[in-house]
Amino acid sequence: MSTTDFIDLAQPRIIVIRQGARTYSFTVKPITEARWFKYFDGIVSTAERDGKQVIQHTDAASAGLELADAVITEGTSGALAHRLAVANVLTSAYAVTEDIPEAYDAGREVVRLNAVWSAGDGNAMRRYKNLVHWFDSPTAEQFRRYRRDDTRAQIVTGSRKGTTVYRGAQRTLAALYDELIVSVAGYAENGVALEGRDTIARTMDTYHKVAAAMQLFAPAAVEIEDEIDEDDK
Amino acid sequence: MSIDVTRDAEGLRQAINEMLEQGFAQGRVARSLDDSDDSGRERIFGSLPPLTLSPGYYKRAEYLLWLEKCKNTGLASGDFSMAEADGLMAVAEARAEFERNHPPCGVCGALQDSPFATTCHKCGTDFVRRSA
Repeated sequence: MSTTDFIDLAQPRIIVIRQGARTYSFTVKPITEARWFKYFDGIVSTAERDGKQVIQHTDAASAGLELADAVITEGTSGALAHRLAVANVLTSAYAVTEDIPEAYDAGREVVRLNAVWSAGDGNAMRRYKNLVHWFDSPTAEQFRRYRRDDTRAQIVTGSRKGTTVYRGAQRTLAALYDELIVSVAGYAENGVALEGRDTIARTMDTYHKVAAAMQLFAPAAVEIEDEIDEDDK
Repeated sequence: MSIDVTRDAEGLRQAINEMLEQGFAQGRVARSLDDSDDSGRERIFGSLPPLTLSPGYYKRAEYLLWLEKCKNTGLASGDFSMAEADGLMAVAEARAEFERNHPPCGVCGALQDSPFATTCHKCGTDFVRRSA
C-alpha cells in the first residue's frame, strides 16, 4: 500500500466542488470527537404511525450545515449548496459488505468502509474503498448496551400515539469501537499507518468509528429471490 | 410535553401486550395465508389486531423481550438500570395479561382465542365450565 492509499487523519482535508466551469476548494480541519457528538445530537430521527404504516424521517441537513460551518477553515463561499456538499463529504463513510475475504479470519469481526475523504491529484475527490476495521467479537453485554441505548426515544406531541424521536446511540457506538477495535487498514497519522488499539481509538475519525461499529450489530444481508408465478413461466 | 419511552412502564406494557396479541393472531391465520390470493392476504392482514402506539414503544418493547430472554437463559447479569427493571416488570405484566386472555388447552396445550372458549380450536376437546 502506498502512502496515497491511506487516509491521513492528522492532515486537513481539501474538499473540492465543481459547479459548471468553476471549482471551489474548501479546507477542513480534523474534526474532534466532541464536534462529531454535537453533529449527532443535531440529527432528528423520527417515526410516526399512519394507520398500519410507519413513516420514518431523518433530517441531518441542519446538523450537517452547522458542522460544515464549524470546521471549514478556508474557502468559505457562503453558498448553501457548497456548505451542504461539504457536509455530505464529511459524512460519506458507509459500510460495504461485498468483497471481504478476511471476513472470518482468526475469529475476528471485520468491517469495510467506503468513504470520500479529501481531494487527490488533479483536485478530484477520491473514494477510498479499502478502509478495513478488525474487531474483537462483541460480548452479549456489549450488544445489550447498544440495543439499550439504540431504543431510547421520546414521544412528542403529548400522547402515546404521537411522534417518536429517537435519541441515537452514536456515543455508545463510539465507545464500543474503542473497546473492540483490534487493527485497521487504510488509515494513517502523519504518514504512519495506525497500529494498536490505543492509537486507533485516540486517532480514528469519530464518524468512521460510528459507521464501522454500527455494522457490527447490523444483520447480514440475505440474498432473496422472488418466487415466479406459474403464469409467468 | 414529551414522554420518555424507557420510563413509561404503562405504555410499554400496552405495546408488549399488543405485540403478543398480534403474534398470536398471526400464528392462528398462518395456514389461511398459504391458501389465499393477494386480496385474501390483504384482508387477513387487515383483520390482525392493530399496533396503536407510536413506533418507539415497539422498538423498546422488542429490546425488553430480548432482555427477558437473556435474563431467563442466564445471559444477562442482574445489573439492570431502573428503566430496564421497570421495563422487565412491564413485560411480566403483559405476559400475565396475555396468558389470562389465552389459557392453554389442558389436553394439547394450544392457546385459546379467549378464556371463554368452550371447545379447543386445535384438538376439539370440550371444556367443562365449573359453576361457582
